[in-house]
Amino acid sequence: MSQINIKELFDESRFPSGWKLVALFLYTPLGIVLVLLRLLIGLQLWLFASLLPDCDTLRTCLNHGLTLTFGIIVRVDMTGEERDKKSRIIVANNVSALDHFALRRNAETVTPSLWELPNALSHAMGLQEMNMNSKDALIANIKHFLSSSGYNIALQPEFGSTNSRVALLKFNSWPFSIQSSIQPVVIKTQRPEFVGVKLTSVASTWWMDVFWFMFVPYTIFTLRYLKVKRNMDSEVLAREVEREIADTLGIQTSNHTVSDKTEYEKRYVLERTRSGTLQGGRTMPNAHIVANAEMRRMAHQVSEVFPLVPYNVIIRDLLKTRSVDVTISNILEGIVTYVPEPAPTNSASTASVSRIQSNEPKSGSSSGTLSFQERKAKMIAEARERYIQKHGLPNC
Amino acid sequence: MAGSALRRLMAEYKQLTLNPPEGIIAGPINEENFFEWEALITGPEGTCFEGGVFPAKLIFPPDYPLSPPKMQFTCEMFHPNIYADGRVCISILHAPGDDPMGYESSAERWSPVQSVEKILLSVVSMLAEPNDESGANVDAAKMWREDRLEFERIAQKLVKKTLGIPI
Repeated sequence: MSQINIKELFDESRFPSGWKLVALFLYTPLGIVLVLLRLLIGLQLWLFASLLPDCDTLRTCLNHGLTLTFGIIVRVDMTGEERDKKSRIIVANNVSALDHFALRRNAETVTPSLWELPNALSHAMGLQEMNMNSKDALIANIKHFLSSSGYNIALQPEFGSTNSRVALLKFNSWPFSIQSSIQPVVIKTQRPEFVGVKLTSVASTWWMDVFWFMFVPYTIFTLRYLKVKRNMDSEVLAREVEREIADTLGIQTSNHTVSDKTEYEKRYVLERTRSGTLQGGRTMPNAHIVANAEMRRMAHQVSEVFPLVPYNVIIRDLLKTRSVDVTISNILEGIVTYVPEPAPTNSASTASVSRIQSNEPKSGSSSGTLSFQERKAKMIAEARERYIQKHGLPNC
Repeated sequence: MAGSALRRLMAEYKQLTLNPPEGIIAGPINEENFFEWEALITGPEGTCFEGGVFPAKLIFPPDYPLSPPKMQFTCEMFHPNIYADGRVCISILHAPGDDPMGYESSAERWSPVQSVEKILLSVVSMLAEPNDESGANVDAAKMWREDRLEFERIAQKLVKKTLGIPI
C-alpha cells in the first residue's frame, strides 16, 4: 500500500494524442454512423424486451443483440485457471461501465443494480435489480438470489472504475462476507489502435462511457480466471484477492476507496467550472459557490455562539433567514428546536487540557472553534505553563 | 426591552469570540441566560498581577446597554479599586448620574456606546495602574501607597492562587 496520488488513478481525458488523435478524427464520421446504427439496434432490443414474454431464448437473443450494440467481444485468457462452476460469486476489477455485460457473456453472472429495466433485458445486460437500501439487505438479497436462481453473482468490490494502469481502488470487504469461497477474475480491455479512445475518464458519466463503446468499432474484454480463494475472514480474503488481481494486472493496490474517487471527481469538476468561469467571464455557477461559502461562514459564526446546536440545524435555519442575527434570536427564543450535541469536555481536567494543547496547533483560528468552556480551560492552562516556565518552578 | 438587550449582548459575544482581545475571554456562563457572563482577565505584563488569570462575573441589567452591567471578581482580590467581595469600582461601570464622589469626568463613564470589551480593557488597565483615590479597598490603597513590596507579594500570592500553583 504505497502512497499513490489519487490523481494518477484516473485519466483527465479519454482521447489519445499525436497521430492517434488524427486517426480518431478521420474515423469520426464512421463512428457517428456506428453510434446511430447501434442506438437503433438498442431501441429495437428494448422494444422486444418490453413486448415479448420473458424466456431464455429471448434472453439469449438479447444478449447477442447487445454484443452488437456495445461492440463488445469477450475472450477468455486460456493461460489462466478454469472457471470453477462451484463458486457462485466471482469478483472482478472494475474497468468500465459495462463490465457486468462482459462477465454475463462468459460467466453467466449478474451484478446487483438499481436499474428498473424489463426483466429479460436486464438479465441480458448482466444486471439484477436488487434492494440496496442497506448493506445487510443487499447481502440477504444476494443470498436469496443465489439459492433461488441458476445465475451466479458478479461483484466488483472497487465499486468504481480506474484507468487500470496504476492501481486498484481499495476493495470493499463486504462482498467477501457472503460466501467463504469466491473466484477472482481479472478483466483487461483493448480497443483498436486507430481509435484509441480510453474506456473512461475522470468524472465521466456512464452514458458517456456507453456512447464511446458504441462509437469505437469494438472493445475486446479479456477475462482471466484466477484460482478460487477461500477464507472465512472476509477482510483477509478481500486483501488477498485484491493483491492477486493487482499482481496479475501488474499494477498496485491503493488505499483510495470509491468515496475518495467521488470526492476527487467533485473537486475536479468544481475546479474545472471555476477556471471555466474565470476564462469565460460567466458568473452564474460562481455565484452559487460564493453563496455556499457565505452560508458556511455564517453557520460558523452561529455555531461559535452555540457550540451545542448541531451544524445542520443552523444551516437549515440560515437558509430561511439568511442572517446570523435572526438565526441567533431564533435559537434563543426557541423557534428553532434541536437536540443538543453531546457536550464537549466541559469539566476539562488539567490533564486533558494539556493533552488538547499538545495536539492542537496554537493558532488563533483554532481557538475560534472551541467552546467557551474549552477556551477558558485552555487559557488558564497556558497561563499556568507560562508562569511555571518563567519562574522556573518544577512542573507540578 | 429585553429583546434589544439580548440582541446587543449576542452581537457583543460574537464580536468577542471572533476577535478576542489579547488575554481576555468572556461569554455567557450558560447559553440559556445571556444576562450573566463570565470573563477571564489575564494580569497585564510588567505589573504585580502579571501572569494571573482572574475570573469575574458580569451581570447585565434588562435595559442594557442603557444601564451598565455590574462586574465582580469571583476570585480573591487585593486591589485599591476592588471591594473585598470582588465588586469592581471603576468609572466606566457607573452611569453618569450616579457619581458619588463627583470626580469622575462623564467621558469615562458608562454610555450605550461602551461595550463589554471596553469594560474589560479598562479593568486590565485598572489592574496595571490602581487609582488610589477611589478607595474601594482602603487597606489595599494604603499598602499600594506606602508598602509597595508587600502589595506585590500579596498580588503574586493571588496570581499563584488563580493558576492553582501551590504557594
